[in-house]
Amino acid sequence: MLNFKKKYYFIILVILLLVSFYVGLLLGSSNLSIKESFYYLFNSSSDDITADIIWKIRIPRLILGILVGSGLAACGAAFQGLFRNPLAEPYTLGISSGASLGVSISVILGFSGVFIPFYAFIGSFISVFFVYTLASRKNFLNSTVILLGVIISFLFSSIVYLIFSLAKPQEVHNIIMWLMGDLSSANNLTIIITAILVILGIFTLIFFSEDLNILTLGDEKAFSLGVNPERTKRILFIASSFITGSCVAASGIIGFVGIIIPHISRKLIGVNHRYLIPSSALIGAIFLVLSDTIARIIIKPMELPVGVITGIIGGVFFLSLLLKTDSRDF
Amino acid sequence: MDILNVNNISVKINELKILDNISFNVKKGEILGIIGPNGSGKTTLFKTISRILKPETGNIFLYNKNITSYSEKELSKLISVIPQMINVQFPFTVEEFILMGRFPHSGRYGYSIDTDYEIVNNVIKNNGMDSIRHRRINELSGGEKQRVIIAQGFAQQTNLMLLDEPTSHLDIYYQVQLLNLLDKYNKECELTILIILHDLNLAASYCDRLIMMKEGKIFTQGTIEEVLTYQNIEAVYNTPVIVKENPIIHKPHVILVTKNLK
Repeated sequence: MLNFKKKYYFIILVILLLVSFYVGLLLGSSNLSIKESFYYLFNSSSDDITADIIWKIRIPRLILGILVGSGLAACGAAFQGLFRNPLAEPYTLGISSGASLGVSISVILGFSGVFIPFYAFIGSFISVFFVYTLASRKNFLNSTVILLGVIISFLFSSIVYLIFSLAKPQEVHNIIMWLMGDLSSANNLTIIITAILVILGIFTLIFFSEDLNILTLGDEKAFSLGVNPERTKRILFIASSFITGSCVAASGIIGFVGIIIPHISRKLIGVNHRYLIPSSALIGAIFLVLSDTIARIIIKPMELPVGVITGIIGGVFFLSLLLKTDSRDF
Repeated sequence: MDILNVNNISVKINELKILDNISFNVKKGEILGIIGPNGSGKTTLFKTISRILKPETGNIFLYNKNITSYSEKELSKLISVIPQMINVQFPFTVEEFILMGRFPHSGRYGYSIDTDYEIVNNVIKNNGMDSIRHRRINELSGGEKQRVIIAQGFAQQTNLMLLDEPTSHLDIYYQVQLLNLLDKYNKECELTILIILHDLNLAASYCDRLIMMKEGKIFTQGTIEEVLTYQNIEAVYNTPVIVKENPIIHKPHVILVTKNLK
């Protein structure tokens, strides 16, 4: 039952998201005034540089920020429930290293542009597949999963370093730029594909959120409540992998969103995944849009990769969380 | 009338025979206790009845229908299972947790306010949990937590409930309170209960019949008086005991002979 308190909570989040979207629209290498912004937003016929900045640069970038932020945060919440481990998220499970490997290989093979996201997607899928198969053989014991993620990460990054040492400096530079995580590089096609996969994925997670609640009670209890643990885990895992794969493909590696946002969200709305997943998605979107805005203006006229901002905020947050409470707590 | 018929089941785990040719029936409305030493196959028996494990041979009929012919959802509407250990890591509220018992009936599309919430409200009220309904489950004491776990089973509204040593970590206050609660549901809601108990005296007080297991086989089954004799207990547990009559409820009472008496 969506009681009044929860209803207001979600309304406030949506308003905050709209506000951050608008702030992100105004601020940048050249700031817009509120009056200008309204003029350009509602006169799509105007045809000057400012209109181009708004419609071709800022809005796609903000949309991508919303998609990636919500996708990574929703997946983080789902993975943490699925593995009953508060440290689980797309990146601690080794998915980013798979994407890095995919990208490194594609750059070495001389592909560029459109193909890089595709290879990132394939790479992250392969690592997810590895972790999933190995984890299911170990009965999804929550500590082994993270360990597996770490091992896969090391393995794949070693191969990436191997490629680095053999590649030309320009190629290494291209790979590193991509790895840093950036919302600016995506083209419209990537954004559309990402939008479809992320939205479908998040709806799948929400649809199965009650199953996920029950899975957190352990397989035996889940079974006696009519949830098939194997099948449900597979569905949730595949949905999360599609979301993660498309997010990584569109924006590179943007760390920590998948960990800190679900944690904040649990503090605000509780652990019921029916609310936790949509709430994480909204807060993730707000967080990434604001982080990206900071990344764009903090060293004007230059830009930082947004992964640097989320990494720093997330790292500090995470450390304090770890020191303050027992890390096994949700 | 029989709710459950277990016919000649044998179960192997990793080539090791855990259950050997087990047969028994559960009558509608009874409390059937299962006793036996550690490792005698009691929990495996429960897992087989709740279809987590597949029997090598034999079959299990629920309402005269093989349990393999039920879907997961159908089965979860008929049998609720309270496993030995539930580690609730996620701090759900008591209300949220009990509501999950309604999943087999409503589930994925959301719980209905008229039926599911009404049932959960009743369960909370009947079990005196109003004061803790918004507390987080991980903040509760062991005894309260176990009550909430069983309340979830009540909300599931099945005809048969399997409980695997529900009292094992509780003090005597909660042990008695919990078994009184089960007794109440058994009498008032005609809930048939199959319960594994370690405490022979609690089993004697609350169960209508007993099954005594040893090394994967049924050693004996029958009324309390038939099963709880000192000969049976000494043969199965390999421990000397004295069996007297409980002066209040007039059921057998088992007294351990604890020290080496010379």
